Amino acid sequence: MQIEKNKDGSNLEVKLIGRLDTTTSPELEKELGENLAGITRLVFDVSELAYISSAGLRVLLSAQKTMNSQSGSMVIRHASDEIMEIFEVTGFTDILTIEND
Amino acid sequence: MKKKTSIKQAIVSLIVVVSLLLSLVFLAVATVFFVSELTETYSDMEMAVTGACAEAVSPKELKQLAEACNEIYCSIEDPETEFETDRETYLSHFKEIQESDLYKKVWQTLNAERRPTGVTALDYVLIFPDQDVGIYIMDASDVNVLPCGELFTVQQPVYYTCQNLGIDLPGADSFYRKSLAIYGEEPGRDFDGFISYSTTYHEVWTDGRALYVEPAKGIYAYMMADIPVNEVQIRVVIYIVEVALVSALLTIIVCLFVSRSTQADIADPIREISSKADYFVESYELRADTRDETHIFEELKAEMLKVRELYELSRSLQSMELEMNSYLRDLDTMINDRARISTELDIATRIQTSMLPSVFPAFPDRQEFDLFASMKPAKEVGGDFYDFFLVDSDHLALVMADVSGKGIPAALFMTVSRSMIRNRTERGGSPGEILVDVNDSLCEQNMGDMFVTVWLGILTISTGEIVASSAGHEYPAIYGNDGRYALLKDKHGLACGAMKGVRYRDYTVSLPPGGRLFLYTDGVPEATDLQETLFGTDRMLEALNNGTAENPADTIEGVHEAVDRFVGQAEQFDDTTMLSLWYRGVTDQEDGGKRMKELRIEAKVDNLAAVQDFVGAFLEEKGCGMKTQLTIDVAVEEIFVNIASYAYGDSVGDALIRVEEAEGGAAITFIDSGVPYDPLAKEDPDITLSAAERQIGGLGIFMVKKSMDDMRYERRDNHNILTIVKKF
Repeated sequence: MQIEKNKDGSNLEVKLIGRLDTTTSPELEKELGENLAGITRLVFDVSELAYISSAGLRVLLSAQKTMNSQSGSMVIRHASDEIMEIFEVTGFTDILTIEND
Repeated sequence: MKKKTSIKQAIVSLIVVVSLLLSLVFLAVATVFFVSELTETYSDMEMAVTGACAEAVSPKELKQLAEACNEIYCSIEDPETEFETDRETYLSHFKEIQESDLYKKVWQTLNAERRPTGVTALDYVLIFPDQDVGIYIMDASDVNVLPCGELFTVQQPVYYTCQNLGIDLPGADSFYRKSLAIYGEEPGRDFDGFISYSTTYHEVWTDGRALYVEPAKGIYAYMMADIPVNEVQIRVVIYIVEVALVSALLTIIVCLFVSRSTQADIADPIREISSKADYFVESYELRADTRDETHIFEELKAEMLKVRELYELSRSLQSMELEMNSYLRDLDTMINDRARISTELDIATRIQTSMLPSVFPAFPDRQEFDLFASMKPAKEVGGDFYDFFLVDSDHLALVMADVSGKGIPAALFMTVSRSMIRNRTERGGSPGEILVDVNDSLCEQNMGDMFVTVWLGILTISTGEIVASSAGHEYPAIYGNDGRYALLKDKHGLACGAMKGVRYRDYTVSLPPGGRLFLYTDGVPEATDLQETLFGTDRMLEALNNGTAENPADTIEGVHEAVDRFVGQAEQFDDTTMLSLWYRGVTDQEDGGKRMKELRIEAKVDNLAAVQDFVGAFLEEKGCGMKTQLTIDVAVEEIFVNIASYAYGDSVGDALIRVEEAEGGAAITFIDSGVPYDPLAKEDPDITLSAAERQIGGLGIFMVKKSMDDMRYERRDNHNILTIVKKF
């Protein structure tokens, strides 16, 4: 799992590449914990995310809650069909802002 | 033993023999010269005497006497016969002359002249060359004075002389002829050097001076001086005896001197050296015990050894003694060194062997594979080692390595390398990554410029896939579907510990169920026979392929036997280390005509990937699409992580994952012996709540329920059994 961060003032774009599963999500959780302070706009590029499990969903949920608490916004971009299906099954489509092409 | 002659005796006898021979030669030569010189001297003397005597007498009177005797002799009819038959009558013819005053006067004058000389007789004779006879006119001598007219033959005495001496004198005849030539063919001249015989003086050396020669009247008168040959002979004998005595005396003196100096300069020093050498040898045992220094040869003083060779010998012995002393001093150190080295080797062997896992079967509860390994240390301990251990319940690490060098350093380096590899492998990562780290760590701590070749492979037990990397190690032998061992010519990196920063490449090789892996160190192919021929990998492969091994232990035994047969009596200098792995694969069972696979694995989150790989491999084999696989992957993760996190509390237990064909898709069953837990009994999370109200937890199982076609739970025999079914 690779995490590419691009910070521009209060904007943070995070690109996730590979598998976001039980073993790799703590890594993302740690990254976000260190970088979310003062961010008003958080964008996840998931175009190259191959896989997400509930552990990954938890991290996303937790990030959404953080953004909500600091009156910021969070967007998921370019979700593949597979990832989209998981979001749908779990009702995450309702709580996440998902922008697809 | 035959008694040996001493040097002194040898030298003395040599001198005696040599001087004897020299004396004889000298004597012979000297005698010849002496005799010739003596005769010459006598001849000269006689000629001088006859000359002198003749001068003392008036030539006229001598002539008168000669003519008178000649006349009388000629008047006798057959003087020779008459002399032989009637000597009295014959001599009576000369009576008158002999008793004349003239005769007496001349005789006395001659005899008086003769006396002071050494001449025995001074004879005035007439020779008749045509008759080979002569007569005495007078015999001027003091003993047995021959009467006037006494006849003598010239011929007879010469032969007689030779016969009397018992010699067949080759020159006798010519000598006679020479004499004859003088007074026979050319009479009237002085002559010398012939031996005649007379009854009184026996052999007589005679020289003659022609005094009155009148060939017309047939008168040849000579004055002859006689020296008895006996006298000459006696002088020669005396001379010989004198010379012999002198040379004997000289020989004795030389012998005494030589014997004394031989004794003092050679025999005594040799005896001294020899006795010291004996003593030196006798005290050997004592010295070996006490390690005392000796000073035996030092006592040999240089002044005692006048002979250079003996002096050099003594110097050699002294330096030998010094060497021996210093050797004895070093002996203790040497003995201690030996003992220490031997102990070191012992320790090294013990370190080496005790480090290696040696209890077989090593994994009695694992049905998926069987392995055996052995290390046969050489006389000089090398640094071979093998290792194998489970990284997790689905991954078996296999190590084969060979440390450069021998003895304690190699054994210690081996210990370090082995623990580094083991520790680093347990932290995870591919063999290549592991070797990179191990290499770097070894390089940092490597003081002795040692290195280790390593083959490291990690077998995924569930699939038979081996990811491996080689740091300069021998090619592994793989037994695949073709049922034969063949070398896998993998890409080698540099041996570990040689240079920092080396990269090691991973490669993958798959063992089918029934596949085998054979690892070894260079001690196997480099075993040599008495002709220095290498065993080689070809013979090794032959031994592997021809063997009738029924298990890994048999495999190794077979190769060992082949190597032993090959090397025969030749001593081996390298360890022979081998590891044989037989992969049986995940338990494959026919269950109601449906194919099924099982994986038993430790229930911990780290093993998630292994479980997913195991399930994924099965799904792929069954033709499951990518998207469905991903969905099932998520489900497997949710369930396995659940078991890993909650089933065994803080401890760790196993989980059995079974995949099988079912209802147009696949069924995956998770079995654990943890606390009873039915995920289906849990209420679904409310997914309609807002993000702020959402609870973290329970979401995973909810996802599984939603995405799978069926999900069943049962608790049986203290096991949780959860099955999910997905069609594809």
